[in-house]
Formats: sequence, structure tokens, C-alpha cells
Amino acid sequence: MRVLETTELLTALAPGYTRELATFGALSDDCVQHLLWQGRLLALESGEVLYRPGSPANGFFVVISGMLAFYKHFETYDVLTRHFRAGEQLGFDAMIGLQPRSGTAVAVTPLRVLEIGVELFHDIQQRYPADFGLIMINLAREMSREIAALEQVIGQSTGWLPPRHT
Amino acid sequence: MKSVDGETLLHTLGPEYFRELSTFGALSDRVVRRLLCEGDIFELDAGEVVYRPGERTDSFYVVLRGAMNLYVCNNQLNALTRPHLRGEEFGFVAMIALHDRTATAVAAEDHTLVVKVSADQFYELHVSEPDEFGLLLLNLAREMARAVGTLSRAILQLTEQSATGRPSQ
Repeated sequence: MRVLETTELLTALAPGYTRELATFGALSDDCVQHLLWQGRLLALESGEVLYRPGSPANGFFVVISGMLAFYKHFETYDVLTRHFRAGEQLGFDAMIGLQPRSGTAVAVTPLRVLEIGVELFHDIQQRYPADFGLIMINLAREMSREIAALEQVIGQSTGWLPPRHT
Repeated sequence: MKSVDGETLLHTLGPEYFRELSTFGALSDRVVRRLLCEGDIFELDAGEVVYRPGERTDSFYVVLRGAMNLYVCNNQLNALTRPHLRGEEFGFVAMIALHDRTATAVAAEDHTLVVKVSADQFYELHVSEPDEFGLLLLNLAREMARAVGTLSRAILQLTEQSATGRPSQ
């Protein structure tokens, strides 16, 4: 895992690439640039670990390019629960829920991620309140899809036939 | 399902009652008053249904008193996913993800009070009160983050139970 310079990343990406990332949807260019310059950009090779269970959640990550696998830790084993692709975030739920990391995040392909720490997140709230509302909507929308998917799994596992509505 | 006037409820319960509700955490009394008075408040008996699967989603709710149970429906099978207690939201997941209701929301106790916040109200707050809107979103996101944790653990326990044939410890 190595730290990338912002200029190195911007040179490698097509113009406007970051505007297409779902987590940054509808944000002003100013705000996206602030995130890219003030956040920590990381490059990982396939198989490298971004974080492990129990480590403190001092921020969250936006996948710029590549793919990650997330293995949820449960008692003595790890279960692959989902993949994260360009534009998606991971780790926000632990940060905002004030919980340590609950699993292992591993690069499946060569990967570039932006780490947004709690200080930068707070800074965005102060400097860009309108953009902050939008980024929260984007993050909430992504979490809501995850909740819907999880609820469907529970429904399939434990559901019963309801009485007929009157 | 009985309608309740927001001003009357505020006067009866007092502003400090609403400050303790997690969805309203750190919001100003002014914005809480606005949410209550511009929203629709309902008092429910146990078993009363607020919405059913397939209905259009144009709002979310906050439990002001009592509790709600949400039953997710999949291939005509219903399953209780989690209770929503005083101060917690329900229905926000469908609203923000832009899909119809996928669950049945049922009052778990008599005298349950909920406030309905419409998508228009939500948008208006975003435009007119960006700072407070950010705080409200933080509260809603924190609750969703905890829901992700709760549901993930439930699935892992179900998986273990299915694999071993005995309940998870």
C-alpha cells in the first residue's frame, strides 16, 4: 500500500472522471477538489489489506478505481459479504456508528481509494454545508440499498406466510 | 389511526422531550418544531398499519412514543427484521433509495405516536436550513449504520444456525 500524490492521480484519470463517482454525485467541483487534495489517496496491489477487524474507524474510503472484497468477521471465521467498486464507499457505517472495523477489506484488483478522515469530514460540514447535505444523501442512499439487500436476505431465511388482509 | 396536532403535542410534552429523540439529536428547537408542525402526526393502536409493501414512498416517519415493527415481505413471506423504538426513524431507507415500500409497518404498542416527514418537507429543509439538514442526515445515517451492523449479525447467525443445525451463541 502506498500513498499517491493528488497530481499523480489526476494525471492518470480522464478529465471529469471523479464527477461520475456515485459518492461524489451532484457535489460542486470545489468540494470534490477539496476532498481529493485534503484526503489521503492510497494505491494497493491485488491481495493487499486496507483494514482489518477491530481497527479504529477514523474515516471512510471511496473507491476511485479497482475493486475491493469485504469479509465480515464473525466469531472465528470470515464471510465474504460484498464487493466494492469505483464510486462506492466503505467504512462509513463504522465511522458514523462509532464502531471499530467489523471485517477485512482486501483489494481484489489493483486499487486506488481516497481516505476521508473524520477531521476532513467535519471540515466539509463547516466549509461546504450544502455539499455536505448532498454527500450525506449519497452515503445514506448507498447504505439504504445495503439495508434493503440485508432485509431481503433475512426475509428469505425466516419469512412466514401472513394472514390474509381484510 | 388518529391525527394529532403538532403544536398541542409540543405544548403537552415540552421541547426537552423531543431533544432526547435520536433522530432529532442536536437539532434546534426551531427546526424540531417545524418538523412536527409541518409534518403529520398520528397516534396508533397496537396492530395498526402505517404502510404496506408496494405503496409509493413519499415520506419517512419518526417514532415519537411507543414502537413500530417492520415486516419485510419477500415472495409472500413476511419476516420481522427489527423493531423501531422511540426516537428512531422508519421508512427513510425506501425514500432515500427511491423505491416503493418493501415492508409492512405495524404499531407494536397502543398509543404509539409517529410523525410523517414528507419528501417535500425534507427537500425544503435541505434548501432553507443546510446546516440543520446536515445534522439530521448525520442522525439518520448513524441509525442506518447501526441497522447495517444489526442485520449483518443476524444474517451471520442465521448462516451459522443453518450450517450447524443449532442456534448461534
